[in-house]
Parts: sequence; structure tokens; C-alpha cells
Amino acid sequence: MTDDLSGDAQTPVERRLLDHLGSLRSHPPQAPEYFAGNVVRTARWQAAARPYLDLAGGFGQSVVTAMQVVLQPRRTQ
Amino acid sequence: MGNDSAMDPDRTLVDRTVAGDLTAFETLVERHRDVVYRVAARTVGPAEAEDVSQDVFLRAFHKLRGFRGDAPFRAWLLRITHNVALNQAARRRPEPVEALDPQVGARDAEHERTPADMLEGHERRERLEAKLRLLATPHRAVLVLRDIEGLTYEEIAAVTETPLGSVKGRLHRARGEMIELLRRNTYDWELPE
Repeated sequence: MTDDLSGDAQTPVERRLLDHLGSLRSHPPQAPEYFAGNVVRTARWQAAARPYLDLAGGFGQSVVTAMQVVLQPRRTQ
Repeated sequence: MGNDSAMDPDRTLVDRTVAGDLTAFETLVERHRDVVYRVAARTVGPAEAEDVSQDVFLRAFHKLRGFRGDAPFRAWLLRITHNVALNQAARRRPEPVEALDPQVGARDAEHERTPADMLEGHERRERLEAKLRLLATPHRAVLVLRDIEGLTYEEIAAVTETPLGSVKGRLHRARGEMIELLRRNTYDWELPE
């Protein structure tokens, strides 16, 4: 997935820049250990809540549509 | 990017996650958290990297049924990372990193005369990260993906949804902008003319 960067730079100054950026590559920021656990816990409750949220969203949409139908004739009068 | 979805080592995990297996999703998160976190940290800064990374994985989780597999999962995930990070960067004000430079430069000069090479290296990287965050966001994104993460041009084109020629042009401009930022710095980056 990664690519050799050595032939990428066109000029000496670009090559120097790539050297500097290489120091960032060798010291990457790292996700905290608890990260995956947090993500999966959140995904779990979101997955559990999703049908209810969809239901509530569908109900809300129905109410809005019904209101539009009821109010439509009054607007045109 | 390639179209051979059968070669994608994540395909089975994706299918299992879609079927409701959250341990498979956890494996996907463990497998890709580092690259997502690195790209997020270098696009939006370390303070927001965790929130952005979490947002990326949760969006991916909810969109997973729509993953067709015509590109590898990693590239699909990095596309989400790129979009979320760019949106986040656009929402907030830039960090005032430029104002700190003269003081840091003075400390760097002192450390050059000491044996504290590790400390100097650390400060050097911090300065470089700060300069990176001053780049225009689209430039920073492509520089991070190519010159730090080492993605191919084709991968970057797919991740950023940009034509290949535009990726190369943008990268060229990004390097030029970065070189100019380093040249204007009080610290000597030993850049040839």
C-alpha cells in the first residue's frame, strides 16, 4: 500500500524536505490503547438504538407530512 | 486502487460486521486505527485527532452496508477520514503556531550545542508539525498522504476523489508552500537553494 518516495523529489530542496518529513514518518502519533474499545462500545449502543431512532424519525416525518396536508388548503385560500 | 475485491484482506470482516458481528468490527478498528489516527492528527492536529478518528469509524460502521468493495476497505476508510478531517479543519480557526516560532528557534540553537539529541529531534519534529498545520488544508492533506503515509498517486486520487493530474499538481504546490514556510523560519532547516 505504501510507495517508495525516493524517486519522487524533483529538486535538491524537495529531497531535503522529504528527509525532514521522513522524521515525522518515523515518529507517528499513536491512537490511545482504549480507542478501539470506545469505538465498539459506541457502535454497539448506536446499533441498538438505531431502529428506535428510525421509528421516531419516521413518525416525525409522518407528522410533518400530515401537518402540511392539513395546512395546505388554508394557505391557498 | 485496483478492483480486485477478492484480494482485500478486510472483506470477510466487513461482511461479518454487516451481519452483526461486532468482534469483527473491533478487529477492523484495531487493524486500521493507527493509519486513521495518523492522518487525522496530521490534518486537524493532535488535540482533535481522537474525536475525528472515532467519528470516522462510527460513520464507516453505519455506512458499511454501502461498501461495494470496488476499492480496498482501507482506501474507503481513508476517504471517509479525509472528508471528516477536512470538514473539521474547515470548521475551526487556525492554531496560532507562527507566533511561537522565535522562542522555539532560540531553544533549538542552544540544543545544537548540547548532547541532548533526542530533545532536539523532538523539538524539530514539533516545529515541522506546526509548519505542516500552516499549509492550506487540501495541500496538507495530499502532503500527508504522499510524503508521510507513502500512498501511491492512484491511491491518493481515490481517497481525495481528485483526478490523478490534479493530485500531482497539488502535491507539487504543497511542497513548494512547505519549503517557503521553512525558509521563512528562524530555524535553519538546511535547505539548498
